[in-house]
Amino acid sequence: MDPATEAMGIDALLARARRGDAAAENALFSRLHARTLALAKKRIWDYVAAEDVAQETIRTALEKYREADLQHGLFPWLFTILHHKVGNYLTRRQRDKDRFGTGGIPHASESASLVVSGGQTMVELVHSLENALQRLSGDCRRIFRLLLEGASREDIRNAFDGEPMGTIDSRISRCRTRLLAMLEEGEGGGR
Amino acid sequence: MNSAPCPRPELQALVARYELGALEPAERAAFEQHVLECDACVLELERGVRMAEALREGRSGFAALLQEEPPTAAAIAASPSTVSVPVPRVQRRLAGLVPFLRPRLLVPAAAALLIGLGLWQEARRSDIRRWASFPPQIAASGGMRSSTPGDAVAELLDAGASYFDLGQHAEAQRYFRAALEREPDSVPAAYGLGLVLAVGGDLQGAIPLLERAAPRAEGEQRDAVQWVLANAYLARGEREAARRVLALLVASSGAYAPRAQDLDRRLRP
Repeated sequence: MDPATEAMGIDALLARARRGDAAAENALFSRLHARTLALAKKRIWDYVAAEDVAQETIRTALEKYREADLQHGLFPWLFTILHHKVGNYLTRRQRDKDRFGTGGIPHASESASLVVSGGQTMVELVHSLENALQRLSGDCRRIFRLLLEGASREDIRNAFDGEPMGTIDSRISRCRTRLLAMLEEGEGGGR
Repeated sequence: MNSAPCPRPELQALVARYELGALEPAERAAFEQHVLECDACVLELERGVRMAEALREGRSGFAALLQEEPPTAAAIAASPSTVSVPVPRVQRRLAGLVPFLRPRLLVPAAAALLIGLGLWQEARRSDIRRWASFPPQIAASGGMRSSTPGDAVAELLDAGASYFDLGQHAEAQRYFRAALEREPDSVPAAYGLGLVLAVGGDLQGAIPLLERAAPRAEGEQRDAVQWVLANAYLARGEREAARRVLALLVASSGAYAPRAQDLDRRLRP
């Protein structure tokens, strides 16, 4: 990688990759690979399969990025793609195991194709969320309801009588922190 | 991928704003660069994605659920839940102090504290459990409001208060410390960190922070800081230091004055 490309930030690399610059795309691939692979391994527990899923995830992300207008940052988008790829892989593997009795050696914490992380299935995670949402304050419940309805920050701001945007961002951040912390307590029984 | 804490909590506190697309380009670039080097932030983002996916998965049910009024504190306490927060008894009681970080909750929280302190017997070094007799449900109430919402320090304080409410004091400490490093003159940061340390029994660490915050705090917040400081002195067995602070509270004629006067009377030799 040439020093100029190496020194570029992710935004600049994405912009160049978007214009079809192969060197920038390669540089992006290298930078994202280690993180994506580590997450894939954490979920799949099979190095070869995780490597495949990670590569496929980054390729999909970079391909789609050319068409997408990413207002919300690269990483949430990348990790959402990874989440789906891992889900697809685990579902496929479970199906193969059911049909042919093969599909590799599952990790002890992997009970079924629905496992998403930390030993929790999506069904369990949804159930934990249901409990956690009920315990949130009125303002946080209102914010999550608006977000579920597809509201933008501006919509949320209007719903809160035009409070400054910084205050709205803080509210959302606080509610997110609370909900995640409650979920974590539910998953791990406390830190 | 290990779960070592993020070395830059001031950046980690930007996660929600990053997800919302609310960061300025320079902030976003700095954050994304940091994510490439930080396991903790990668995991934090991944947790956010998982939560978002689960929210999408149960969208219709959640939307209906969230239309309903939130349950009362009594109902929450009475119902079994998979997300209950196990907090040691002393910490649970001390956690009632956290609303003082939040100006709009100062008055009701102060009233609850005063009621709680009716259980006060005498101030001896070994009586830390007794001075912490506060109603535990206070910890779950409300949200902290910063004087400059939306800035990085406000985010750190918010995160610290949220973790404190949930009894995750190590996390809370990390965020308050980061806020203090970023803004050494911040009264809520000094107070928050002092409070967390006091809850953890680190009075040596807590008292200098509370002493630092007390002269710079104003109005109801000053009263709250002084009240906690007086209690911290008492927990360390420093009767005269506690009485000096209580005298200031009495002189202020604020919400704490009557109780401070009563406590001071009990502490007289």
